[in-house]
Amino acid sequence: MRRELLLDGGSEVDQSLIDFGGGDRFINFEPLAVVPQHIPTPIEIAQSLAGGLSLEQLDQAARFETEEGVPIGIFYGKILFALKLVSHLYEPGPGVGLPRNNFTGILGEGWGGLGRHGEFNRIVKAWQFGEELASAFNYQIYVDDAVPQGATIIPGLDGWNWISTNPTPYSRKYAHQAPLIAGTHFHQFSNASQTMPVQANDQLYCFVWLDPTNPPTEVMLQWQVGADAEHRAYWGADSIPFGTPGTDGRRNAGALPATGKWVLLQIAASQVGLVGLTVNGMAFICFGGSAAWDQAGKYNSSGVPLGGTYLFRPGVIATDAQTIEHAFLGIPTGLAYSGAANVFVRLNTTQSAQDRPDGFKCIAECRKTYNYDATGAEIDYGYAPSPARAAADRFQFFFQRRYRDRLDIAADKFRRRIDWRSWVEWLKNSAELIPWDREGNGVNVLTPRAEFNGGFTGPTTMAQVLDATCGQSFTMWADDGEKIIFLPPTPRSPVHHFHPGNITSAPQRSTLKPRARYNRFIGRFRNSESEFLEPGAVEPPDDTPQNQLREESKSRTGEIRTELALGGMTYSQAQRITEYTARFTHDNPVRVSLVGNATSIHLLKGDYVTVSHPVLGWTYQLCLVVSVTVRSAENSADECEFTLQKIEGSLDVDTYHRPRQVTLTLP
Amino acid sequence: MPRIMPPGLMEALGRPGSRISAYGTLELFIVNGAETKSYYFATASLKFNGIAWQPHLRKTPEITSSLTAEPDAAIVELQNVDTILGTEFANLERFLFGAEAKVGRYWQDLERGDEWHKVFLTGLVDDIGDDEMAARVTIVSDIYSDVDVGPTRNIRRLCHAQPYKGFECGSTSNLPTCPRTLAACQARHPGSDAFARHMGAPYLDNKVQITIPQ
Repeated sequence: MRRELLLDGGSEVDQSLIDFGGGDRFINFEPLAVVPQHIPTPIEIAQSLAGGLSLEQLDQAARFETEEGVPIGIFYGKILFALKLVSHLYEPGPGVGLPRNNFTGILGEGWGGLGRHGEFNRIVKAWQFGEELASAFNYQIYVDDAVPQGATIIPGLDGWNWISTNPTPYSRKYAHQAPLIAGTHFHQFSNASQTMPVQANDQLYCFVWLDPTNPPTEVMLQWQVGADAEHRAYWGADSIPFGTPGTDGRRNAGALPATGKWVLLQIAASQVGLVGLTVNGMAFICFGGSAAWDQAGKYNSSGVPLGGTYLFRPGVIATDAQTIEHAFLGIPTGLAYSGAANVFVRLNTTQSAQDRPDGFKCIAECRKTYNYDATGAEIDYGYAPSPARAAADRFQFFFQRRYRDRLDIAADKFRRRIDWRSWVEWLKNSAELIPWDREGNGVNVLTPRAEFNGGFTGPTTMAQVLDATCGQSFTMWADDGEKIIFLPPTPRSPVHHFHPGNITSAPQRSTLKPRARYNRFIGRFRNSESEFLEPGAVEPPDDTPQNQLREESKSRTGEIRTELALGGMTYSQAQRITEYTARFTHDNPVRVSLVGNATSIHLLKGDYVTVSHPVLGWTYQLCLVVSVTVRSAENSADECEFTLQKIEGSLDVDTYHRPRQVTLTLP
Repeated sequence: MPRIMPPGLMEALGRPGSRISAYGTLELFIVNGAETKSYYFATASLKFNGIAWQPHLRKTPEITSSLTAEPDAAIVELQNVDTILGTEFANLERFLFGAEAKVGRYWQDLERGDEWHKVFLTGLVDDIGDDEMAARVTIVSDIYSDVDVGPTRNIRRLCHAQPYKGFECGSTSNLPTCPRTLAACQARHPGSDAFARHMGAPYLDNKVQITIPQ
């Protein structure tokens, strides 16, 4: 974390580029300036339900236009999006049942790109403006880069061919290929110990790529429940002889999909008689031709709309209730947005082509990231709102971009540049659960020390990424020259003692004058515990001796206020960051400059040291290294010039959170 | 956590009366097409790690790092670059910007013969300047370099920017009967990208009223 970030409330980094769901770029919107203190009006309630957007912001969100050339952001953690709709398809029925409208909205950068990392995790919630359309869509990815655990592979005529190119896989690193063979050919697995229980309203899905030169005339998916394989759906001609036509064993699911691109195949579990059963095998079947298969699984589409909430109805929309039939994260077909994470929303009401909702919002759990061990080896992949994992994801991308033609070199440089031991410490420190009396009733709940819910929506340097991710987790970072070292807020002992014997020039002390110090600190954040990620504001606890000092400053110099633009986090995390910032910038104003001899050459910014010196009148005074310059050493011993900050007490803030407040009155 | 120093160095530096020589080092890796050229310079003619370090480094570079927004950086000065190397550098000049550079220090224990080398800055060449005395190369830590780790994709419009129901959509048919679907648009404009003019949804301006059912 940089000092400027603390002093200026984050203004050192261009906040428009680092988006915590509060930026004013194309997807997210500034939080409300003032949290209403009075009895809220319906409009205010509606805004609150809508995630705290102002009327103007709602109007902005209501624009369906996409802005050409606007970069698609990269997001981590849980973020509120006002969707940019990029496609609309009206299906008149009756072929698809009721007439329905389909919309695709862009969230941010997802699949694809260098290294093919960064799938988005899932949609947690979706609204049509104030109205909640769906509560949750739970996915189970059953096949992706590997067959489920314990599965018996049955190669069939195809064989199991994992491929990483031709075509580029849809998801992660590998797809499995059905080679060019005449007639019915397939590959299969069965008896997996890792199963997929199927429930009512589940949709089964699989991605397929049909060879544009030699496409199959029919593709079929088969799901197995032990020895029972009579659960099949097919697309295209009815040539594959498995099962009885028109039954669960051979259900027609539509026409053959487009060739030469990844297409989502899906069918309701009820159509193939799987509701209430547990799948433990699948077969991927073609008639003639060649194809590639990728991620397969199920998702639940039983999102239940919340009734009785306020509806935003700008413009003219249908008056009938808007219910969502389907929300899916994926790549829309037929559009130029591949590589972007999108939400696909389908409304199944009896609408006409002209009836369109005026906008969608959703809360999405964003990019999946890799987890690493203390040697830098990948050990896990998935969603986690972890500042350390977000930073590592960007770091990996940093080297992939620098060495875009040599991804092997990029991987090697990435492994070597990070001090993984301290990275793991940072990861664990952030994820550690700390007790918090959230409700003020004496009952502690456990909350993660720090999460990162934010993203990057413009040109960003690696230093900005480290500042943003470390800054949300009380962590400092330093470059040792070869490795990036992370310093999470664990108790750290001083690593050097300065004394007259190793100080080569007399120390000089300076104190930041009261008028140059902020004395009121306000943290603005989006409450990650709120169902709607509502905006909030918080101040440091007012019952501490430190706060008394700030109050005294205020009485002498008047209020000098700073507001921190924080990301999505708990009230607890926001209050602790605000307290940390106040301690760092207001409570510890004394600095010392000194020059140390060669024995101090190992010190880095962010290290703790002690100082004993008669000029200062200090004995083993704890200080923080703010800056260090390794000096030229010709014809003399090595020397290092330091700026140190005197630290009274501790910067540790784990216990400096209080029961959450509903409102904060701001003048 | 302090810098990770080579084993034995800190003990030697802290030993009373120790005689340690220190030198500055610079490693440059210039990628010229498929070839990577490596250069090793020091403030004296040195041999260690199996490499002959050429004595073209004018003085040990100062390296500053701080909790402030200033990037970790160093300016190195190369002197007495002979004609051959000078010509080579001139030819590589356009590849020099962005080349990987490592600035470090080398120590020799004059009593015990131990030697250590430690890189203090891994960065990219950010600026180059020269005069009759020396060539100056500014090296900025790669973390602060302008390698962009932000989003890589932009939204590309496949639909026109006009209000949905306007004549601007390019349709020659009777607009009120337009089925307003992407498929219909594609059918109306076969063989061109005009189908992309299908806007997909109406444009709403900022003056739209928001009403809330009571």
